[in-house]
Amino acid sequence: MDWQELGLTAARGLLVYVVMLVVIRVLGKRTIGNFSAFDLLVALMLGEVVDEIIYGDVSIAQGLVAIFVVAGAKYATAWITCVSPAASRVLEGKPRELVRHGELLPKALRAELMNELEVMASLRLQGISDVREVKSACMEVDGVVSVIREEWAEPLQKRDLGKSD
Amino acid sequence: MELWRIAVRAVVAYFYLFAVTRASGKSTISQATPFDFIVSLIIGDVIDDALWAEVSIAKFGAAAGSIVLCDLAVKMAVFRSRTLFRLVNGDPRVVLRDGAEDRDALRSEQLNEDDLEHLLREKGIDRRRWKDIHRALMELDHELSVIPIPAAEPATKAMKEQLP
Repeated sequence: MDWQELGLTAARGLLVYVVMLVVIRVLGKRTIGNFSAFDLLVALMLGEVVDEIIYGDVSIAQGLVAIFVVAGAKYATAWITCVSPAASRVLEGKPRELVRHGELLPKALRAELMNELEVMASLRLQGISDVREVKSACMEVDGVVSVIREEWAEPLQKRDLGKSD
Repeated sequence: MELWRIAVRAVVAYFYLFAVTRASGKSTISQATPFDFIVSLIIGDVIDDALWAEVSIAKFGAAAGSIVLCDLAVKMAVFRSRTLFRLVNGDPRVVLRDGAEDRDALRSEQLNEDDLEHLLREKGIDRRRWKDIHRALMELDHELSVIPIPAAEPATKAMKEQLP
């Protein structure tokens, strides 16, 4: 057993850990939030390049270039998406309404490759079993179905009982 | 390489990882921060070279052990020091105040108004209900938290008793 090589491996592991900590922190909350499938892909890419660095199959410099380029590209797209709504629509897509005023929209369902069972399941996850309670349900860019209830189906608030203090 | 060697390596690596993750106190992924997620990816990534015998089991042990130890050390340091906690995790940031979005705060979170609309829609709040929000914060685990104004807080059963 080569103790020196083991020590070097551990040291490279330490370095990779610190670099990733800084990279994730600098990239900010948008990066690995639950924003889009692409965010997950970037996280996987970053996690996947490091084993060659740790085991010394590539030089530290080569490894850092790979990490910084992927992180830099992600930072750039996040920035563009943030400042330009038009670019955001191209890069992340836009939400599509699946239910409007209690009616499923068959065209939208086809476009999202969803059937009504899946829509009803996402409504149930929000505590809704009757589609008539839904004012609008959208497939969001991160794959979550958002649900806005009709006014009459909203839970009571304090002001509804005349208690607004 | 003989197949049974791959099987043995897989079993050894599996139980080694099981032991180190348990030792590092990570029993659930549900409260994980994005960085925890990356650490899991890295550890999952160093294991495959060990399975195909591209590196020795000892070297895999050193790599995975070093990552897990770093993680543990950072976690402990962050637990002890408020300054380190904020350095590593950042701060929650108010992105919406009394129904109006704070553009500078949104910008520093790399969010735009569409993103905020989207995040609030996922909480069942559409644009016309923004006025019911006292504060919305981007939290450390990259979730949006929403504090309603007092009048828009949920009614309670106790309040029903007090009705005339």
